[in-house]
Amino acid sequence: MNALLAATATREVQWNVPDGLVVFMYASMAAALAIFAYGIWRRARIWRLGRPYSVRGRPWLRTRRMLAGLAQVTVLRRVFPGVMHALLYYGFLVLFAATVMVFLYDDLGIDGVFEGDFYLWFESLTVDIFGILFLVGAGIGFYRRYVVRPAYLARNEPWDALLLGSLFAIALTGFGLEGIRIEATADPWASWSPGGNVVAHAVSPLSDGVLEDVFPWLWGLHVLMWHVLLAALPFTKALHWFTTPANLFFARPVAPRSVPTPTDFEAEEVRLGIKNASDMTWKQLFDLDSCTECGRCTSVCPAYASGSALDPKRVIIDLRDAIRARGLAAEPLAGDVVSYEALWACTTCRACEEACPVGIEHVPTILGLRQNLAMEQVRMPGGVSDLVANLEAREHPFRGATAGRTDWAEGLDVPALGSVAEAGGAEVVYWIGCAAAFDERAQKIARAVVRVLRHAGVRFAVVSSQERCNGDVARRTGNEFHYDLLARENVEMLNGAGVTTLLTHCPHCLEQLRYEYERFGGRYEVRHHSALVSALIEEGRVRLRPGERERVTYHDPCYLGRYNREFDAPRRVLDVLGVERVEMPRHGAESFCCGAGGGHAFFDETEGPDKVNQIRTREAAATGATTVVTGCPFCLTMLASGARAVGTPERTLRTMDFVELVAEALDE
Amino acid sequence: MHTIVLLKQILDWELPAAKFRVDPATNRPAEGLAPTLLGPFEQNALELALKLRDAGAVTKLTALLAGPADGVDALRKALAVRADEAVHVPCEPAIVDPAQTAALLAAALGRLDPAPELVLAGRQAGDWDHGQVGYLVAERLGWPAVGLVWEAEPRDGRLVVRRSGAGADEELAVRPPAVLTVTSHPTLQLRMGSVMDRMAANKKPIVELTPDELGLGADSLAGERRIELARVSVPEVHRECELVEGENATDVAARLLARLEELKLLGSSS
Ligand code: SF4
Ligand code: SF4
Repeated sequence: MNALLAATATREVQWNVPDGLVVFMYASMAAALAIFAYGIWRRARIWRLGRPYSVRGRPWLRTRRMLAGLAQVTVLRRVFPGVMHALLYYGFLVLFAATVMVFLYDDLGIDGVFEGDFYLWFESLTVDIFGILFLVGAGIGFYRRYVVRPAYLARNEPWDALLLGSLFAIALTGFGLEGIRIEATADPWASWSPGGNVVAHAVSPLSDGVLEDVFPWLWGLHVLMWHVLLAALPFTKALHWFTTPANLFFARPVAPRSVPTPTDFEAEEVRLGIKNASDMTWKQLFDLDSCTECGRCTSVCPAYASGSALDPKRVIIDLRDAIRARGLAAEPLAGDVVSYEALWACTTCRACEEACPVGIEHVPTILGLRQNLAMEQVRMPGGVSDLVANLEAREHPFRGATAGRTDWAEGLDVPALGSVAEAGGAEVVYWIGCAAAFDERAQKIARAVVRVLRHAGVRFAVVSSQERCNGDVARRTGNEFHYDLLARENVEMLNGAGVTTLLTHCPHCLEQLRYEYERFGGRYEVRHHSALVSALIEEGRVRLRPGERERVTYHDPCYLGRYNREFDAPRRVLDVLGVERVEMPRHGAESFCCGAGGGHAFFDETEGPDKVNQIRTREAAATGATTVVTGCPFCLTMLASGARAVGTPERTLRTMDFVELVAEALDE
Repeated sequence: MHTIVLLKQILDWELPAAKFRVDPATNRPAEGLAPTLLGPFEQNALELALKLRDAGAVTKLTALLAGPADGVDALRKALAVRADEAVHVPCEPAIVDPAQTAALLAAALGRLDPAPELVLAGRQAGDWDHGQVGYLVAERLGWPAVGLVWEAEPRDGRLVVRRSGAGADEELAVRPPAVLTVTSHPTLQLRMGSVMDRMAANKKPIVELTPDELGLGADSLAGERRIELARVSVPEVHRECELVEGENATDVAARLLARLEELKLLGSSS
């Protein structure tokens, strides 16, 4: 044992711990580490079932994300649970470091870490403060989980209580040990350990003999609890201590975001979506083991908010548990482990992924399962099979539409692609999309865009008559086969026409043309009309009359915002128009879906009792705005029907695409 | 029971009337107005055949089509829902006379192996709307025919079929071989095939039986003709639009009512 030097602050390591107990500690640690390693091996066996997934590219971005995760930045995006987690996390790190110091000192003989100023400032004061913070964090955790009980944490597992309880107990016994030692040894540096000092005062009525008797037992308990926890880690959600940083590194760093794993329809054996674990990439399997069960995904999910069967956290947990239990069993996961209703309820809005602090990608997994339902099991809502039949027959999803592809432009005399290309090229090639072709309301958007382009003197041509559906609605309803056909034909046509840049007013077309066609050899520079119009205004090519100062709120379309990261351009345009722009509580990257994504513009069979579009419209109306503006024809339809449903004849929200407001205000 | 479904590929029926054009040179719909698709009643007939197969009554399902080359799409669609065989009797241009079509189909039916026992046809082709082919085929084969069927169920060697009669639903029993013409019904919406089946359908061969092989070369086929198509024209529709305006909804309603009465467009209550 080390001598206690009066002049140098330190303490006796393993004071009053019999040698036998020390031996026990090493033995139990070895056992715990062995079980821990076994647990990790069990998990790794599942990850290895997965298909290839590349983590190459953008190493710095990946590292930055991982470091942000490690520094708790992602977790702290939500204040209350974030602070709780950060307290536990930093507290744990410091307490763990303190234990490592003991090892360095006792087993490796590094004296510096346990003597003098470092001992006082770090090993005593800092550790005690962080220990107290750790206890506070655990307390907040209990309070939240068992008193506040937010709905998305409603399903409490026994493990949750055990994990939180054991963390709490380990810290508490640590303070107990410190207090007893301080009291029994009359530690001269006691005031450097505020936590331990409190305990020391509390136990001071007990005789030294009692304290010395109790101490080894308490020490044994403290050590044992930690070792049990260590051994249990890979079998509980605490596995995320290790998987989370890795997962943040692995997560796809760039667009296209949240797309299903591409299907090779030419392959010997074609995989139709995710049937079982081996159809998932190893990253998708790793996702499952990274979930902290925090429920943030569920708390922002529109499908969940509407009362549908979908709960994204459950999707992840249920898949994890089922795959652990049944491995590669033949029964398909889709429709069984995750229900038919849940899988079809997803609007693919990405809110869950945006909220998830550990980089889990729910949407590709949900879509993979949906693909299996659609393409292999042929189980889909009637609206989906209708739309697919329509895509197959007419190459657009609007069943029963009476308009033709070019009707929207009647009387406008717009130059078709080809003719302009021959006549010396166009500044802008405008992709109309099916909505503006076949939906009467959306036709007005295209007409407004044309008015603005003409006003600004932009030479443009329209693809229109040569377009097919961009395929997004097929892809997001799991019908990758039809998507594949449409995408290839569009790319062939566009490449054949020599198109390199495109304009679109539809975020779904934008996503496809800009990012997802690349796989088929379609590389285009694509602008959403918000970016173009905002640029034209800045260049002074668009002159606007000052309008009324009406109150307007802007709804971020998921495929423009969360998918294509365009949040500002439409807002800039609104600000130039001079309207009074107010924000809904959920906006920007945290925007709430209109309910149309994932094919839901065409079916509502799996909706919950509340309607996503009505929830959103109520939110818009609550801002006091008279008009809700957006930048997507599908959002427009959903918000308009929401406005009719929640409004009154006297007060119904007006729903507009921002470009229609621009067209109204043109100074011509 | 070897079951045959008679198919036809027709011009998209969702093409709005206002856009329909006739090519005066051919007396047929102008080219390129809209895609051609498997007709809606043929889809119902195919679905009924699939239901009978689900019920174990069909041992082999064959799709048969007499028509131009685009009919192959319809046959592939049938293969995609796992019809066992697809047979194409090519004839360009499309035949308009139901008697000629029935002659070709009946001849082709005679070539199928094993001998067919049940033939399902749409109640009428969605383009010309003659509604005769099913019955004419039955006549040629000397089989009974039941029309406007929307449900069929095998029972004791017979088929119990439900059809829409005048103002009532009828249940009939018929002993195969027989021809059924099938009408539309919510339960008869054609199912979707799985992607696997669909990809397999693209690789399956389509049997071709030319009119010559069927002994119905140009001359003999002409001899089967019963109807001559003289002229096709789009009826002229005169449209007038008048907007009734008023102070408020009640006022508009009152003015509308008055105007309708004025135009004698409202039936009297007597
Ligand atoms: S993408 Fe949207 S709807 Fe789907 S699970 Fe995530 S939050 Fe819910
Ligand atoms: S998936 Fe992400 S957000 Fe959802 S519970 Fe798990 S860790 Fe939390």
